[in-house]
Amino acid sequence: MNDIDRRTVIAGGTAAAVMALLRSAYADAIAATVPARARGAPAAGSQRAFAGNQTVTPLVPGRLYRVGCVVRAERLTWLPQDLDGYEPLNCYVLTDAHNLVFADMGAPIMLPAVQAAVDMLAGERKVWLSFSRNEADCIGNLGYLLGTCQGPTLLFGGAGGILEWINDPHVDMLEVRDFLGRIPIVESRNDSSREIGEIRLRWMDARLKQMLMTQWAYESGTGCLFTSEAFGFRHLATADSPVVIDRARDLPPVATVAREIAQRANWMREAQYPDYLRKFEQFFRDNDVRMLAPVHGCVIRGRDAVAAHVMLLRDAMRAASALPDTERLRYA
Amino acid sequence: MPELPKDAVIKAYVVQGQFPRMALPDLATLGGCSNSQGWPGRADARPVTHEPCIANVILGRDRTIMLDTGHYALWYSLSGQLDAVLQGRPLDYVFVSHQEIPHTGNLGRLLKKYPGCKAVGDVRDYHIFHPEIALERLVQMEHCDELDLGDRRIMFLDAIWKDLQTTLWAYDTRLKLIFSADTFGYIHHADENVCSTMLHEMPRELREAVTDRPALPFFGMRNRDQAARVAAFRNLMTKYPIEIITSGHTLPIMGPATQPAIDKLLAAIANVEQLPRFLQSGVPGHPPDGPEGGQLA
Repeated sequence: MNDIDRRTVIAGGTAAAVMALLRSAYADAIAATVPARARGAPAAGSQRAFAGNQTVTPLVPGRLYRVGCVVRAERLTWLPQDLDGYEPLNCYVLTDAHNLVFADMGAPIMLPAVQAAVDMLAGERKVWLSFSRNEADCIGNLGYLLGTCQGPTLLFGGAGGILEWINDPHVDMLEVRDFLGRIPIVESRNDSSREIGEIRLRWMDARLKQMLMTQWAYESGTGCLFTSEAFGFRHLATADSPVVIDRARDLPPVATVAREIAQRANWMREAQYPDYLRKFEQFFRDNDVRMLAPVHGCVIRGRDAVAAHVMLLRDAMRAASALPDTERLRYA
Repeated sequence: MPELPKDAVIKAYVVQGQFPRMALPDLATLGGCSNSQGWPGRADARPVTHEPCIANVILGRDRTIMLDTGHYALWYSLSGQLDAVLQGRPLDYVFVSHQEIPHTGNLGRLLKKYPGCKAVGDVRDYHIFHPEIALERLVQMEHCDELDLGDRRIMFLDAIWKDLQTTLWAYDTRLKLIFSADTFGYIHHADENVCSTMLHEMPRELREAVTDRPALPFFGMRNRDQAARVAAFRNLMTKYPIEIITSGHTLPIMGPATQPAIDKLLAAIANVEQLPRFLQSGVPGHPPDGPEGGQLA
């Protein structure tokens, strides 16, 4: 299907073989015999977490790539505990002839894929880094990229002293050497836009979020909306299932999605947010979104698939309001 | 291309006073401050505003626990602060209240420094943030789970106000101390010179000024009934009496400062819709960007 996805190298392997071959370098001490795994227990007898399918996958050839890995759907806060499957972890790369823009940079466990993306795509391109939230699933490899890419520029639309939240990968982890005063920064505030060569980005307040300062970014050339954690409710049955969904059918039930988004956006339970819903719907009426690119879960591609998932999420956001506020009830 | 001149970049962690402090013989306070207005790249550089980034160590008779890991960028100082308060004892546990980097970003460094230490809390997600950590050192805790430190128990309680869903609070049964993560956090100005000062040590006017600036970085507060949640907190206090409050953004609040601080914050939360939006997470006079103000750690 593409010439970059590492899975092609070992095409024909079973899912288990793929996972084993692509086991993270962090994993070691694999048990000689693996006992039956209890639900929620670490997979494959590893003493450390591991990820498979560390890949760089073209979404729009020459323009947009998904960079990421696949992990067991366990020990992850945004997932239902009874989900038996796998979860893609993602960030994205936009390119033109002269520029490369990271849209989020992923969790540290997907560093091999991020390294591969730089190796394969950066070349002489100027590197730009944009992120949706100051959290480790979005900026987990920011230090690596700032420390290793040639002349990177940070696109900054958030809050907080972000350059002090990461470290230069070339110093020992017990030292602190931040990037303040060394990294060029260009503001990317909400409702601002910027043309980076042929890449046309616009940033906005996220229409579904938990953290106060969460941004979505829309790239009009590809029609891709980078949604941070929103729209991350499509998961994988197997480790080597496709990470791109282009179907408008076989959707999960509204109630399932409602529980899942409230697992993350806990403020929605027993809350009233008509303006929030209105802004969500208005955004998708006003913009030609052809792809939804979350930091976890599958990529959703194509107008029909996008429209179906937008309607599903809208209905789930409405339904989440009726879920019980468990924190309040604990102390009622 | 607009860039902030290098000499305009405000270096953070401009701490006045000293850390660590032994608030009590068995309670140490570590950390420093962050400049919460010192965002990189801002064309409109603002006066330095301090956001305390605090961790606490409880020295139990048999075991020790650190409450939050301290801010990632403070490690150069925190490591030595830990040596000072532990006096050769090992750190047995580190409680990770939630995954935000200023609260738990030093987890990898702490577990490397203390090979016998285990992380406790809602530890989901940390394996993808710290793949270098053996999974057995990430110990999942649920609401009402507890640890025995020999002369006290540390209980883990579901947080009532959260900026991340996984937030737990910790309760020390001996000190009647609650570590409330992001709740009960306050901002101060540089010229107030209170970085390592506890509320009860401040003059009354200064204490009032500082507690007028609560950091309430919880998205969606205005969208649901906060009076019910204030009532829930009062119910929590009935079951778990509170004499000391600490948080990731507060030095210990104790003695005569405790009840007034509780009453003042709960009153503000109960009437959150009447607060100016920027007061939810910022400093009066410096409304940050965004629909509900800026974000603190």
